[in-house]
Amino acid sequence: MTIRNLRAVSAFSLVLFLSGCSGQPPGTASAKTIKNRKPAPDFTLKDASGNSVKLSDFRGKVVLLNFWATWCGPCALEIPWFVEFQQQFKSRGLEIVGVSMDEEGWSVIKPFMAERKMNYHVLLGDDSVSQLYGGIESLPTTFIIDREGRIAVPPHVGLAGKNEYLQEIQSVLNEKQEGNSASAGGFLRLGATAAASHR
Amino acid sequence: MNSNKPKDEYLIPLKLEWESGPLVAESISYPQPEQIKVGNDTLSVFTGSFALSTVFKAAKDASAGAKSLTGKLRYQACNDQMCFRPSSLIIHLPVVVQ
Repeated sequence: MTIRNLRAVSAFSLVLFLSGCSGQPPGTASAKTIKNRKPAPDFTLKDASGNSVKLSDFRGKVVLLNFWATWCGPCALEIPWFVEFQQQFKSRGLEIVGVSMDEEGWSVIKPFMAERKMNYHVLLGDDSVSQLYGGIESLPTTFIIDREGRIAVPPHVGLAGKNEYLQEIQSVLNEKQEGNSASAGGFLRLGATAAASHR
Repeated sequence: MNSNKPKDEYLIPLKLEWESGPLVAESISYPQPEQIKVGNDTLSVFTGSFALSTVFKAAKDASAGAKSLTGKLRYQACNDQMCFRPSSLIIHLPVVVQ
């Protein structure tokens, strides 16, 4: 190994070490540090086929939980973005869950879903789930939940920017899942791999 | 808030209804809505202060005296960033039938 390569390896390892110690991946200005994250309250709601779906069914995935309604214009602006995100990031473990607060129920939700080609989970919400999440008084209200079932970023109350969602989703998807033996010593293992590749 | 005739079928219209009682609501008048553009959509809305008026007619069998009419105003409001859940306002209107 040449001296120049050794320096590159050392710098690379140092960056990884510092990143690992912060507990927060780089570029995650809006994500909460892991120790500050609270668990997302679990719930069970029905989907359009009448199946019961629990939030905890998605453990191990990153969940974008969006409270919305067919009568909500700002909600309708976000839906095409969510359709795009679901297509783009499903293979990386993103699941989008839309909880509709339509009092009229599936009679209005199903046609809306078909028109907007909603390709993600849509559940019918109720006052109970609203109260679990602090009382959802305005829509849209959106949470991003990490793979361990914790709320990863402060909730968006009202319309948020597409790029803002994109950055947050990517940031949380990039986080190492806890309990994974590769992640526990991930920065050291990656450093060793980098050193090997530079020989 | 949405007017009584929003342009999108999914939007919740402003709606005033009166229960049957000593007076019958013959007609309800809504003001002229504003058309505002939000993104690519045009919304039919009422903004600021506005008035609804109802023409009542006494039922043929209505007895004279002080009565109360009950109505319900259903509304749903948004701004350009968020929408608030639909609400209903119950109205009690004291009247005297002569």
